[in-house]
Amino acid sequence: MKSSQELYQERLNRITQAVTLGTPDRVPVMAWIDAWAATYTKGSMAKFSHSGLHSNKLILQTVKDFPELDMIEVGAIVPNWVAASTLSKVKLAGDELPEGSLWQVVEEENLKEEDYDRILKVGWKRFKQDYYKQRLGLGGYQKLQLILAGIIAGKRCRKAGIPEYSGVFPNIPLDPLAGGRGMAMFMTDLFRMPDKVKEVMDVMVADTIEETLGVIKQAKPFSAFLGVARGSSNFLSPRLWNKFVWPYVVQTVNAITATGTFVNLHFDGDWNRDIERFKELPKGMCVFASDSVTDVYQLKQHLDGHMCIKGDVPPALLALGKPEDVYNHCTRLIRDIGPKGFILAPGCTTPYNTRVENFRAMIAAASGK
Amino acid sequence: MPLFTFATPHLKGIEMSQTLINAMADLEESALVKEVKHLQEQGVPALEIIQKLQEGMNIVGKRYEEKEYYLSELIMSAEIFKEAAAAIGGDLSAGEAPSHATFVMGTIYGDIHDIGKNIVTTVMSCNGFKVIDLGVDVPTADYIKAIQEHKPQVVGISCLLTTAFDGMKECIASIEAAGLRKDLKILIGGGPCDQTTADYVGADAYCKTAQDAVEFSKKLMGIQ
Repeated sequence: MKSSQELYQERLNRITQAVTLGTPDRVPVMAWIDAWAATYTKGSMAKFSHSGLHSNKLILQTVKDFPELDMIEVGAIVPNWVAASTLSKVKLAGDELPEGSLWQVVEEENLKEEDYDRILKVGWKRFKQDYYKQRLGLGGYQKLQLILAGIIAGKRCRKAGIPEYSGVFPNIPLDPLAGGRGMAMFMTDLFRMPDKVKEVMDVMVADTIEETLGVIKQAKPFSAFLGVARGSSNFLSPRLWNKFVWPYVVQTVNAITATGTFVNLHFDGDWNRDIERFKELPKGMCVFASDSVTDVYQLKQHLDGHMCIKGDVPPALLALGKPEDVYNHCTRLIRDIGPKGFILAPGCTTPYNTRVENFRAMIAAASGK
Repeated sequence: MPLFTFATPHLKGIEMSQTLINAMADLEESALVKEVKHLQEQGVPALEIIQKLQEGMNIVGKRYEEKEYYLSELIMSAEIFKEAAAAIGGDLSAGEAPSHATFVMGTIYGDIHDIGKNIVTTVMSCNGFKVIDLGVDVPTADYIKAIQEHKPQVVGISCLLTTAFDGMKECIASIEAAGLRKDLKILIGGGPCDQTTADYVGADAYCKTAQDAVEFSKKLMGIQ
């Protein structure tokens, strides 16, 4: 029987092979297990949503029952800080929402037009610390809790033999700005004050890269999670996308990959129009993680031999489908998108109401067990 | 000569209207505001101005359909339209403008996400539908009340959470049980939805994009 450390290394090697476009012994399978861990373990969602360490405990309890799983996206989840990354408030079970509810980000205008000037004046790092504290109620104590939860969860995962995929979470400026301003207001800013928004983004990206490289130096994560949800190709016209999205993706990715760290491009939504552009990013250093909205077959056609693809088992299939449908879908993905440069995974996170037998079917399709 | 003097202001009016339509279609905000003021000074009735703006919005919708415009342009157009309507004096965006049909839309209860819903309502109004936006976290009773009150031809239900699927299913079953489904089509959409979801909740169709909702609704109304 393999030790947890041997398992850890074996799993890490398998994923690394896939990311670097080599040939793994089998297509790896991984999952972002967050709220589903509370469902699976029948734990309190309120407790899960409020404590990073408790979430880690439930995630590891869940993972233990699926030994063929090669990796998990993150070892713990802190919804408040997920929301903070988009400058938004979040409603949690046990607070604004009843027990058993999934956390939800509130779409409202928290970031005012004059805040653009403030960012230019004091810089992004200083601005966001004040913003977190004053407008989201997240101060130094909560930040310390987050850092400690991250470190302890990482150690526990390693001890359990399950690697964590991402350990640092930068974003391009568009997502926090669009979240803070509200989507509609932000879109109008792009027409009404494009030069100012661009100037703000330039300040933000420089600070974000500096912070990210600092964390990478300390934590040495497997990959950096670069999540873009509101900058997808169907949201912005090419003129805007080329100005406000893509340059910041390239700049951030190049800075991270220069350290030898992989980048997990967690790009939600429809990116079909611009798939070809992803060839501009370093070969064998990035993973396109699709949430099953971008056409995975187009991803394969354009990025084969250049970038690993992760995904993209549809959430509805995991929540509503039959195990044989999930198994057949995953087998098709492995055959058509793999075996090189492919990681089988749910599109985005594992849905809160995923049927256990469907999750098993997904893993079985990759492991053959 | 009399004909010429009669024609001049008329032609000028047509040119001005065309300027307004173009400003709306090209998202030229300052030109549009200036033109609206100009037309008001000329004594052009508010409803006539709104109709020209709506013509511009139709071009925006067409450009979106042809992928010349994207969501960014749709949102901007809706913003400019609202601004112009307010300058004229009143919310004329849906009430008085001519429409193909009525579309009721909301995010199902248990889900507070509104971006997807807003995209669809914007695109539908750009395409000449009267839109009744019920907001987010909408209980079944509110859908039923809105259907009874506004008698829409199409209802849209949106969600971003797989946990909201059962709410959609219950809502659609309740609409049917209330005897309101006969002349009504129900569309669903949102990040995690697909045809499996539509079958599960009992919807008439699943819309992957906002444009799908437009096409389905236009086809239903027999509009080219």
